[in-house]
Amino acid sequence: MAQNVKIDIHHVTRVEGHGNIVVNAKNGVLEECRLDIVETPRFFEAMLRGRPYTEASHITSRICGICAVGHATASLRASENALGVELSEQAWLLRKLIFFGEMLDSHVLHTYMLVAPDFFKVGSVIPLAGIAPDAVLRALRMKKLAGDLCAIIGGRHTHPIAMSVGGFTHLPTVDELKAMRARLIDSRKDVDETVALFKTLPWPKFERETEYVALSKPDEYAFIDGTITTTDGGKYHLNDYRKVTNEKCVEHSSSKHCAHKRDSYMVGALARFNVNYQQLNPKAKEAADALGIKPICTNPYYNTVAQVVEIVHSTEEAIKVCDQLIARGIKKEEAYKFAGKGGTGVGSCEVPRGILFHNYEIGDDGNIVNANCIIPTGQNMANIEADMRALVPQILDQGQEKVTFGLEMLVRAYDPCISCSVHFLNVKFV
Amino acid sequence: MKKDRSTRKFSSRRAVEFGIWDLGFMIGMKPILILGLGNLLQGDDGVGCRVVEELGEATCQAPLPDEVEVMDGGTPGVGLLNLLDGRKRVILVDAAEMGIAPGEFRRFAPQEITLTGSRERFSLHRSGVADALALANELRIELPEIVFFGIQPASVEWRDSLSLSVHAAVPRVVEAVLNEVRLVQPWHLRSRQGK
Repeated sequence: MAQNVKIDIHHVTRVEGHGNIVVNAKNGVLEECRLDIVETPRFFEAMLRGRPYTEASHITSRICGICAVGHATASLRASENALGVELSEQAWLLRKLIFFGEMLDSHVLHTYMLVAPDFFKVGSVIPLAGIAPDAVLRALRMKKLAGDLCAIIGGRHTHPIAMSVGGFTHLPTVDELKAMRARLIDSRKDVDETVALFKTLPWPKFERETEYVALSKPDEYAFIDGTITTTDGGKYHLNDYRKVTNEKCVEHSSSKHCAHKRDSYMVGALARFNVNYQQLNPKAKEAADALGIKPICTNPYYNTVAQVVEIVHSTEEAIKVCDQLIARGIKKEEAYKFAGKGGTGVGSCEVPRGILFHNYEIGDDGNIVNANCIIPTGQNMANIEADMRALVPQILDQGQEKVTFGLEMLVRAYDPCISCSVHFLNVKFV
Repeated sequence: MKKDRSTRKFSSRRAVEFGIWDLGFMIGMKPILILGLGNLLQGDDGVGCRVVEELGEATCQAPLPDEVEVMDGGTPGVGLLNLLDGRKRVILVDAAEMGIAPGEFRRFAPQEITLTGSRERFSLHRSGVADALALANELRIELPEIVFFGIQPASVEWRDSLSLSVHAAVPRVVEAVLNEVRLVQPWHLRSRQGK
């Protein structure tokens, strides 16, 4: 039956930032289908210009309370690569450990508090807490553990203060790490219950092949550094990130669109899962089996499922890193001293929402001359729209309400941080 | 665009020097928390963080009671509940859209106001206070006694400095927050000596 559907969702809820979904179908033919980004452009790059490189990670970690460690990490890696700074093994382990903390914190927030309400047919986590208080309390408990993990290493709960170029200005004690290890072991019960809950949810059925882009490493499931790898066969050095992102402006969005070999690509937990499945912790692979997700998974709704897999992986790997640090003992290390020679460097890591790039040019005075940041959600925008265009004709006959719900769930599955992705104009520095 | 450098501080070193290193929970959690909230990159939304930073300087001259910890909470979202956990009393400092003149501030308790989540109407949305408190209420989580110091912003557009009117208000808010912990708490008499 030919259908007319006109959808104009003003401000999709339960995503970070403001985006509108616009769909217009007449007599069963899709005429218009897009995700408008209406946030005011943020000028992160302009905020960094002229500031000492030592401030960059603190400034960028303020972009967002959810990806604070991720932005700090990408920022520090950009400065470290620009200045030729090598990290000690201890610093690497601590960087990894705090990253697991943020991954857990963000994935618990998204899976339980932003996505789960859709399956319980409630508007937000607040009524969900009335229906399923045990699940929400579990989520808060897991968030608390993740936040405390970030705090013992980063020196503060929300925005890390102890992470610096070359290492850390404050170190956790072995006793703190032992206590954290014990809490992570205890949390396995919550993690198991998380897998049990999410495997029961009826995920929407929708498949669309696309290109998946993530960092990869030969010896581990990559979160920090690595080679940019795509499921279409591309492998790039971090310095060549622009060959992958190919940012371009589009009329209806203040977020740029990205495309590599196809018209769009996807980044995030599902992309990491598809690219790096082999390197998942064995318990995470077991969870993937239980959750019914296999590479290469082409259902974008399963991004949330891949996040659940990463919750298992991050918990198990965090325990391993705690073990390594406890066995080595914590040693005070010399702080990096700037030698008066600047440079250019790219830093990249897999923040919860996908691959993030920071690219800095640092002058010989230690101040940032030029900066570029490419945020995961910006890279996903074109892919979200391509999914919407493929999905709508499949569900058009279900009526306006169901189409609307399906599209909102789709956008939320990407865990978009719309406010973060918005930096419409590249600032030209004269 | 020329910016006022005096309001552009992102210094972790200062935080350490002035003893507001946020590690209270490791060395035994202090019962009273002064928590600055907001986004430092969104103009006046970051006023809570600025107040906390200035508080660090002010308390170099006259230290706070030992029971008080000062923390820059940034934008914790519902993670706010974890920051409140285990405290007896929390003083929240944040930008608040109250329809009064920019830079004016008010002290109030949660029960005296209605927190709305609308971005345009209430910048507390950004730091998640409304959602976090509503969630705690739904889950019947016992919260500490909470006092707000809400400061009326002039602008929460993307920029890394405060507007002039809100910048000028910071010392007055610092003074009011100090009075709150010193006057209300009798144990201030036992605080460390300071110059």
